[in-house]
Amino acid sequence: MNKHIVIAGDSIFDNGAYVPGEKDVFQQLKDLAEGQAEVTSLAVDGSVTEDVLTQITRLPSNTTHLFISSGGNDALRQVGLLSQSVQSVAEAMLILSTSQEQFRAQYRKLIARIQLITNTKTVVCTIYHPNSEAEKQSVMDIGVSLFNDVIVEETNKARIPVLDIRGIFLNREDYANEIEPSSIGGQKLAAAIFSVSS
Amino acid sequence: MPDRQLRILLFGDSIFNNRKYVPEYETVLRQVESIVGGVVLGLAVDGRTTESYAVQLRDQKGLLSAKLKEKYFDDVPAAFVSLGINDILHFMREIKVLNLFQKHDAIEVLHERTIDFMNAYEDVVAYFTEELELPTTFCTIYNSAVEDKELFSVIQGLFNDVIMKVTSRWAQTTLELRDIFTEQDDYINFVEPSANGGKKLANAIHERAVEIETYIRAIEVVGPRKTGSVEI
Repeated sequence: MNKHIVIAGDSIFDNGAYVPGEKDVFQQLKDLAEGQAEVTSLAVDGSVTEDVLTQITRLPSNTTHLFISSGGNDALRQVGLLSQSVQSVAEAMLILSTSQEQFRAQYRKLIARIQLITNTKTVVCTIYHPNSEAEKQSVMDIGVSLFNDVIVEETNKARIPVLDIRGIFLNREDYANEIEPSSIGGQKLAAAIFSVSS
Repeated sequence: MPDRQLRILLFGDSIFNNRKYVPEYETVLRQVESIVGGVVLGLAVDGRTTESYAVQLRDQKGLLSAKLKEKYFDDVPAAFVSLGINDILHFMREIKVLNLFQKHDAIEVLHERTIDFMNAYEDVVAYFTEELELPTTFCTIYNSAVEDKELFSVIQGLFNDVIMKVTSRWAQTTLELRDIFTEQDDYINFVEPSANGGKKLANAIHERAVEIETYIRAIEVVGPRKTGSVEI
């Protein structure tokens, strides 16, 4: 058993607190990989991209596959910014574009760190659209789309493959709440990770 | 063994039809033709938006398909579509005219127009996928030196994300123009490809077309080459 799959990032992988009595993504992936691959989780609920940089420093030396989910919590912070009182379209656009560029700077650091990792196939995930209340959905959709465009553009430049998890979390039952994977969504995500690793 | 020649269709806006801005021999179409050495069909129109094509497809789809298939699609070409930048420029003008003062309105308008763009883009992608049944590469929207760069970059981010989502949904591919147009002299003005940018784009199209060609049947070109542009 030479394969070693590592998951790092936020609560998309570390969703144990939101699926009480059920298996989290880490356990679901371990079940799928049993006898075929070792699985390690470095993911921590609530992590932003800056935190993932620290997580990766603990990457096991025999890691063959690394999956990173990062950006969702950075986007959530942006929603807070947009709740601030702004007086004009120009000001709103400035907040959005500044948020996007700040995220780009953080994500570039993550990519630079990923590029230092050798002998490991690294895949990053997009940010999925939250299952938000209608009144917040517009803001969340815009934040997620802007940040996903950064992820796609920057990973494309670095030739790092992307797992678009928006194609996985399609139904309400895939979510445990507004933003966390349920055991149903988690099982689909674990299957996608295992499939990409095979 | 006869030579195999690639057949390529360029469809969309002035990224593929920049003849107003550079000499004819330096247009993107001619440079693609020169590098590919195959049949290049230009069906791109300067200034066209995704929405305008979507309207045309809704009203005249059968007519358009018959015309295209009769005149051009006797073999299977690789198609490339560039759309979106004119939608951004139109939207930017609209926002200024609307003179929106409240941030709530700005977010709602952004969200609504992004959905409108997605619906129009989906119509075009569906047309190439279902109606024409062409392996098609859809270009992302490149950067632009417009005056209001914050507004442009926000809309560009939203629309490029639409392009990624929709093409992924229809199992088509994308070409990231932001990786190609990286220098100032890749542009002839704030938004159009220069001869230099056109050459880089032509090389990228050739590279992608060769990849696509390995997945589709090889085509032997018989008779005179059909080239040139047509407005639809």
